[in-house]
Amino acid sequence: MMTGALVAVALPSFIASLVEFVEMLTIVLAVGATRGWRSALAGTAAGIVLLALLVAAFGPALAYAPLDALKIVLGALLVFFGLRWLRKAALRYAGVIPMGDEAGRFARTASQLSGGATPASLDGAGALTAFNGVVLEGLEIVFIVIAVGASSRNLAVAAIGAGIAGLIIVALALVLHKPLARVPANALKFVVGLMLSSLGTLWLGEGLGVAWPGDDLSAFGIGAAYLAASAIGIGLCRKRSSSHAGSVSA
Amino acid sequence: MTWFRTILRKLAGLFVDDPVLAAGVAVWIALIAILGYAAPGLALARALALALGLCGILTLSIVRGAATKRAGGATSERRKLRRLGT
Repeated sequence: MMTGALVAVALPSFIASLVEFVEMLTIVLAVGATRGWRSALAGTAAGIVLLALLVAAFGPALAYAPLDALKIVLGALLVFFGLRWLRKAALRYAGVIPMGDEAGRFARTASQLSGGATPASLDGAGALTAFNGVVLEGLEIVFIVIAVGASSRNLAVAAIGAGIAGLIIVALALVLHKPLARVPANALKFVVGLMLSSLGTLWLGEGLGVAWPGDDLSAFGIGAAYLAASAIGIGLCRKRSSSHAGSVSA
Repeated sequence: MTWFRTILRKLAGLFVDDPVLAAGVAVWIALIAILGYAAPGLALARALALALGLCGILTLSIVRGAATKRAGGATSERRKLRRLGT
């Protein structure tokens, strides 16, 4: 039971962080390649310090909040957050919006920063771009770590899950020196969306005093229901888009 | 200041992508909470209503997102045709 709880906390935190670290890394690599590694690393370090301060400020403080209230607030926020990821991933699978493209993101950021590169010295625009990228992508990691960790009273485990993901991505970046275009980001986002929506619904329900059959195990049932709801949504979108294409061509 | 506004927008964007989905989820959660005060005995029924209701809202949001995207495409197509004078 204890191991299961740890997995339920560490796994969503790990997978979600993996996806966000890939996006963060793409921006940092683009800055490093165009404006020099000193600027990229300075912006990254400043961003990481700010994110760590946010976790240190809000994480331990939440340990003193009443658990039921915490489960309602953070559970609801996890539901909002998870359903947003799930909806976006479903629309990508249905072919409504394009799949995430790390190589394209790298090219866009690099072209925005190209010109007047000064690789040897610290470049303000480059450092700021890296800082923004790290903070904006990192905010999602911070939220997941705090929400999943605080709701289950396992902040350290959630933080370790995110930390391992960060180490893996940094190690891959050091070896590859290019954006990680082959990571199945949409599939991972779909899985994380399912996990966070299920855990959020479970904790929100507990906070509201509902009776889940099977207690914590009902998270699997809730996840299956969300999976079915997404599959129905994707199926309906595909059906309508094929009938729409048919009526346009006719 | 612009950076601060960007952070605030990003923070809001963490939870709200489709305002209709967010509003639907918020209203549904509020209804389940009110039902808890009105009929505290129906704990299992509220659990099922919470989960299934949120699933229904998700499906509707996905279908609505696709329809909006298609309508947007159709509108831009009409605009293009108007520009060409057809």
